[in-house]
This record gives sequence, C-alpha cells and structure tokens, in this order.
Amino acid sequence: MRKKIASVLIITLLIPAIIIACMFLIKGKQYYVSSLLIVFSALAAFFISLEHKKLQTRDLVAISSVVALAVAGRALLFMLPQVKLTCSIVILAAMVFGPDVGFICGALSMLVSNMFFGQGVHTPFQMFGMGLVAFLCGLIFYKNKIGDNRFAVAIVGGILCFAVYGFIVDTGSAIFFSSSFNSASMLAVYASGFKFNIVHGVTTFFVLLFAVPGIKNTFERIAVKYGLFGEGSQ
Amino acid sequence: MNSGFKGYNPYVNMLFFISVIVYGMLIRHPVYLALSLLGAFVYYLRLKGKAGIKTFLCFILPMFLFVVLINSFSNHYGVTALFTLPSGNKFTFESLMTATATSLIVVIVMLWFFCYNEVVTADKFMHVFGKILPVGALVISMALRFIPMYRKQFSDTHNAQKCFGEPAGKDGYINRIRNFVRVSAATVSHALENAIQTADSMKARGYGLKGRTSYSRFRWTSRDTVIICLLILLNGAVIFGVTRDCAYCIYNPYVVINPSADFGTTFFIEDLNMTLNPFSPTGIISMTAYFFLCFMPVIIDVKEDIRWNRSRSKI
Repeated sequence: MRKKIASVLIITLLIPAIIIACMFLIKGKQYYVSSLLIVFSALAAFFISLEHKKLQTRDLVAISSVVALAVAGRALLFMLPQVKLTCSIVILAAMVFGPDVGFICGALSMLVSNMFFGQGVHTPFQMFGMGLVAFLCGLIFYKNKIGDNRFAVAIVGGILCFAVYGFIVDTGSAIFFSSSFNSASMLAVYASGFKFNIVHGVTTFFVLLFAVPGIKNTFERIAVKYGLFGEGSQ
Repeated sequence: MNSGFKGYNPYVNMLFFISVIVYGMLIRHPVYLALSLLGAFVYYLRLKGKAGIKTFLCFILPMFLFVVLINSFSNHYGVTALFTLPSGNKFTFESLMTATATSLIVVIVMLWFFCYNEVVTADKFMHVFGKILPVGALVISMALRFIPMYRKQFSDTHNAQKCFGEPAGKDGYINRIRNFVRVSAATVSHALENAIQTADSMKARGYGLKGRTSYSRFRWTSRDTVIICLLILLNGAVIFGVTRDCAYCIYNPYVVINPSADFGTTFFIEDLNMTLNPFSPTGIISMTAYFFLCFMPVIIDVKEDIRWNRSRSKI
C-alpha cells in the first residue's frame, strides 16, 4: 500500500515538476527535453522495479530469451523495412507472462535491436512505445478467455501497434524535428511516418492471426511446465 | 581496433558522449552549433573514412534540407518578411533562422549518435550499465548471446523440415506461411526449454549468491584519470559560460545574438533586423572549452597517429 501511494505521488508530482522546470529553464527545446525526461522516468521506474522484484533465475533467463526471439524476428526480415515480428512476439509474451513482464520485454527488445541497427534519439521513445503496447495487450488478454480468440488478439494487437507505438515514436521525432510546437510541421512528420506505421500494424495483425493458437500455446506450456513467473503455484 | 579515443575506458567514452549530445540538444547559439557540428563531422569522417562522406551526402544533407523546409514554411512569426508565400503568409528571416538552428541540432545529434555507435560497442555499454542495473545488464547480455543461437536453430529446423519432404513452394503462400509458423513454434519452444536449462545451470553454479564478483575486460589506467579530469574541467567551463548567458540568443520576434553589453561594438543589420552584440570574455572562455570538448576525440586520435608515425620511422 505504501508503495502504491509513493508511486501515485511520484506520478502526480514528478511529471508536472519536469514539465514546469523545463518550461522555465530551457529555451527552444523544452518540449523535446521534457518529453524525453518523462519517458526516461517511466522506463527507469520499470527497470528499478525489475531490480527489486525477487525474480527467479528461470524468469530472468526466460525474459532474455523472449527478447532474443523478438530481436531475431526483426533481424530475420531486415530487408523489408517495418515488417518486423518484434511487436507480435512481445505481445504474445505479455499475454502469457503478464503485463509488467511484457513491458520489460518490449523495452529491452528495442534497446537490444538498436544495438545492431544503431542507437539514436528515437531509442527511448521506441522502448517506451513497444513496452506500452505489450503492457496494454497484457492488461487486456492476460488470464483472459478472449486471449484464445485469434481475431480479437490480432485486431487489438494490430491497432495498438499502429496507433500507440506509431503515435509515440512519431511524436518523439515530430517534437525533435520541429522548431516550435506548431501543427503544420508536426503534421508533416506524422504524414511521412504514416506509411511505415500502416505496414507495421498490418504485419503485426497477420502474424498474430497465424501465431495465436500455435505459438501462444507453446509459451503457455513452458510457463506452466516450469512454473515461470509464479504460474505453476496456482 | 581499439586505438585512440576508442581505447579509453567505457566511462570516459560515455561521459563524453552524454555531454556532447546533451549540449548539442540544448544550445542554440550559432557559434556553439558550428563548433559541435565541425567536431562531430570531423570525428565521424575519421571513424568511417569514405563511407562517411556518402552517408553525409545521401542521408544527412537531405534530412537537413527537409527539416529546414518544413519548419521555415510552416512558421510565420518574426518581423522581417523576405517574401510572401502563395498562401498569403509571409516567409520570414526569423523563421528561416530558427529552422536552420533546429535542423543543425538534428544533424549534430545524429552525427554524435553515429559516432557513439562506432565507439561505444555493446560490451562497453554493458560495462557501464552492469554496475547500475545488474539484472537488466544480465538480461541484455544473455539476449545478445541468444540471438545468433536462435537464428541458427531456426535455419537448422527449417532445413530438417525440408529433408522430411516439406512441400516447398508447392501449394503457394498459405502453405508456406503454415510451414513458417510451424518452424517458428519449434524454434520458440526450443529457445524457452534451452533457457530453462541455462537458468538451472546458472543456479547450480551459484548465481545470485552473496559475495560474487563479475569479470570485466576494461581496466582503469592513469590516462583515463587524466582525460576524465579534463572532461570534467571542460564541462564545468561550458556550464559556467552557459549559466552566465554566454549562449544567449533569440530568434523570435527578431534575431539577437549575445546579450547586450556596455563594451565593444554592437552590429545591427537593418535589412534583417538582426543584432550582433559583442562576445564577453566569459563567453570566449566557454566557447574555447566547448571547442576542446567537441574536438577531444579527434585531437587524441591525431596525437596518437603522430606518435605512431614517429616511432615507426625510428625503427
């Protein structure tokens, strides 16, 4: 309970504090810096909770194996830009292992895949966006009967991937590219990213459509068999 | 090849890149922008050679022009109209200046990140973050090892399926996708089972027990101490200058560079409504420090090159 109060306080005080401090202290790039700091603090909160959570060795290795699968899914199809399996694999992991594990998997898989494809100013936004997509899918489908319906999962996953991930990453670059907070230059960046987001969302939709009964069951079987993330204890 | 600036301790590399990227993002003063751009560009060319010029011409220059165009045509503030757009809005000198500054920031940060990707490799990143977030660093380093393993496993499974007589390309796309899903499911299942085995093996060897240390390839030497002291000194000088308004410049509603001062001469360009105030002594110190900060890797590399050439000619 005390932890919950602390986290609510941090959210209600820290984020406005960041915004106000940036407004007064930094001229010109205040929007970008404040959004970057907010994304950083959200990521930091999750990673610090990962350090303090008493995870078993098996859970840690399972997380890194999901991350490796997700990155391999991006590297496998590197010749087709934006056609990546990362998002769908992370969503599957979140559906089976729970939303917070999904967030960690999503954020880490973007960090690790950018180690191959090059880090940049987009990295924190990609990490946060992918983590958030996985987290939301986990919230909806974790321990839920709808999770077995391939169409429901594919539609929700595809839309979240298009709307949430695309929106977060494009907003990051739009604020970075525009000199003032003005709708015309922001819209130009959103428009140039639209095609990629559509491709990304459609890919995720189809991959989830084919993967849901088969590959999801594989994840579930392993989780139950080895008691990952407290699965076997119930 | 770990020579020059690359061969220094990861903490030194990290501190350098964090400081130049943060300053690159925040400072909009033209002199600072020019120094950072030159430093990043020269170091990038040194790291990449001819391929660097190609990236610059094919990727960075178009990006620069794109950002200048979208920003200067979509903002209409400022008092100096250069010409009127077909839409009736004015194209102003101030918005062109702001757009150029923003675009330079984008290019500078990108160039520094390109250099970062060359210098701070995954093992250096892990060395720095392993101390702060040990669990996260462990997960990342295991994932880095698993990636090539799983790709090999995927192609092995795929080849085995082919030997069993998978109808390759016979029944069109649906069948091919079905096969792909089957091979992927097998890879996923193998990957996770293998992960559990790794975890059990780690536990058997005492992972997570107290008093265990970790191996690191990087050592802290005296030259790292010298460079990190220098970095902190230069950072201090730059921050001191920036807090004393040395990087002061406004682009809206008219361009003013440097704060107004009661010494020196102030230039005023009437056609562009642009004011150029004199540089203060603190500003010159801060800019010199910024120059040495941005050119530090280049200076270190060139110094080592000269020393190498000298010692080689003696032999």
